[in-house]
Amino acid sequence: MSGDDTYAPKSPDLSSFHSGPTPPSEPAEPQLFLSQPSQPNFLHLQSPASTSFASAHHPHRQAPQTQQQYQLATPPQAIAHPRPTHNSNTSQPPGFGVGPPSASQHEYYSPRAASFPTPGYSQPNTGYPATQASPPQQHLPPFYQPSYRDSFQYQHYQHHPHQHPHDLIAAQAQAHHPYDYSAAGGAGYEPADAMPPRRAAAAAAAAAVAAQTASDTAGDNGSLSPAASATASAATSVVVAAAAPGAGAGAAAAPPSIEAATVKTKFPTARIKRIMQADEEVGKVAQQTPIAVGKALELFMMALVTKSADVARQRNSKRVSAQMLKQVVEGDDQWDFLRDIVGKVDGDEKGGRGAGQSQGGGRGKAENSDTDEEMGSGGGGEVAAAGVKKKRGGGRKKKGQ
Amino acid sequence: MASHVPASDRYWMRFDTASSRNDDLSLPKATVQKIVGEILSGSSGIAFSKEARDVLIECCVEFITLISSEANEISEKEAKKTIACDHIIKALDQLGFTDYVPAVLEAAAEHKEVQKVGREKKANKLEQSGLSLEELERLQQEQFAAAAARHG
Repeated sequence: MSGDDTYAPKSPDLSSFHSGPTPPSEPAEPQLFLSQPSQPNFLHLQSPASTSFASAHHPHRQAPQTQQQYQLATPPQAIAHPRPTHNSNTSQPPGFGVGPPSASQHEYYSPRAASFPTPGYSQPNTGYPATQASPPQQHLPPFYQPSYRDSFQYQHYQHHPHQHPHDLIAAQAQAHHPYDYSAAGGAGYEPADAMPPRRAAAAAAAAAVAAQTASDTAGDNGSLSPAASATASAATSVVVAAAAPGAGAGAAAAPPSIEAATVKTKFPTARIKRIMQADEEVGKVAQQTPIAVGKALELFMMALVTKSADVARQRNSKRVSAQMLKQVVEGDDQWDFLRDIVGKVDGDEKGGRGAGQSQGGGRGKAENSDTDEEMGSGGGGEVAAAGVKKKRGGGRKKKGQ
Repeated sequence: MASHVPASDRYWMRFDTASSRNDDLSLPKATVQKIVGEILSGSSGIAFSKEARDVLIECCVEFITLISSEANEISEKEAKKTIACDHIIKALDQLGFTDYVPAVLEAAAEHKEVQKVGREKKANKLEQSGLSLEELERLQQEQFAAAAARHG
């Protein structure tokens, strides 16, 4: 028994403690971060509001990476007017947006996605209320910084503001779309709704801290940055701005349920990964990748399902049939890669694809037991086929295992 | 050679070689049904038929295959061995699903955050143990020694 005792905890427990030398520094992060906002990864932990604020008013402290981004990717005209917009924004009543918040959110939808409310879309602008006030490099949502060093994507997006404005909503708003900007201002207030309460609360708290330190530094070295002179006054207004998401955090419980109403079930990532790797050419897959694919799949399904539901409605039907799905797929070039799959829908025997492969029948049988009967009758010749086939399928399964 | 074969055929070929894993390479029907229900919960009383759902599942699998093979090509071009989130984003972009990009980025970032929280907890665990690193290391060494003696 004593042997067991010593054996069991041997490595796993202690090694997990031991792998700790780096983690323990994490609790100390906030201070670390405020004094040197150089670790892009921490941007996720830190509330966006605080990060953007801290760096907004101390450009000279920017990490090299961020500066690089800044030079590569930011539109010059956005640099020109950061402060006026900031002031106008903070002095506005929170709900000042030109359109109602919901309207402003719809702005960001692509035509294709417009029919369903996608909660995630409102997050980029809502999550970073203070971003609108800060110099342009901060308009990159934090997660952009690690992944888009090359700035290629960024610029690309810049050229298609209407296709994916969410990413850079604030930057574009300042640079190109006054309307969007004011709308985003409204959203910045309201959408604490889209922020998880935890994040919103953190945002408010951290922004307050940031404002504090900012005013401190403004007192200490007023000449530190061009923005420093404005820092003291800006600090107070930012606290006000930060208070908005904080206040929203209380009400945040309700709006997330709206987004939950869209899709809260997630695809199993392990399954997605397996499907991906079933392609022999696909090698290793990063941990995050199946999650990204899962999200994309979710949006894909939404589009497909919503559209086919529309078709069903047009036909006064309560059930979406496979034919309707087919109609949707064939109606849009975006989905031409699905034509093969949908092509077999209208009661054909799937001969086309099945014949092309030696054991195609085996596949069909095991995959869709629903269509087995169709195959049996439609395939012709094999009257007793259905039963026999099933037996055979079972046998093969055993062999396979 | 496989690149000449349409993605859908590549998908089905897998089943010919490993038909026993058939179900694993599709999406769970119940989950898909549930998600469809959630999507349609807004539109009054419209439901998906079984056949439509099965076709939808196939479409989903095809979508995954398409994205991942495109992402794979991109990663190969960049001489990377691992398909990263970035490649998925680029693949979506190139395949005309540009409007999915923001939400996907969002989801990925969220996931990262969740992971961070997990790591923080681990760090706390170290702190909560109330032992210094040296003490813990000594403890571990003792247990290693004990285990070695036992199995020696």
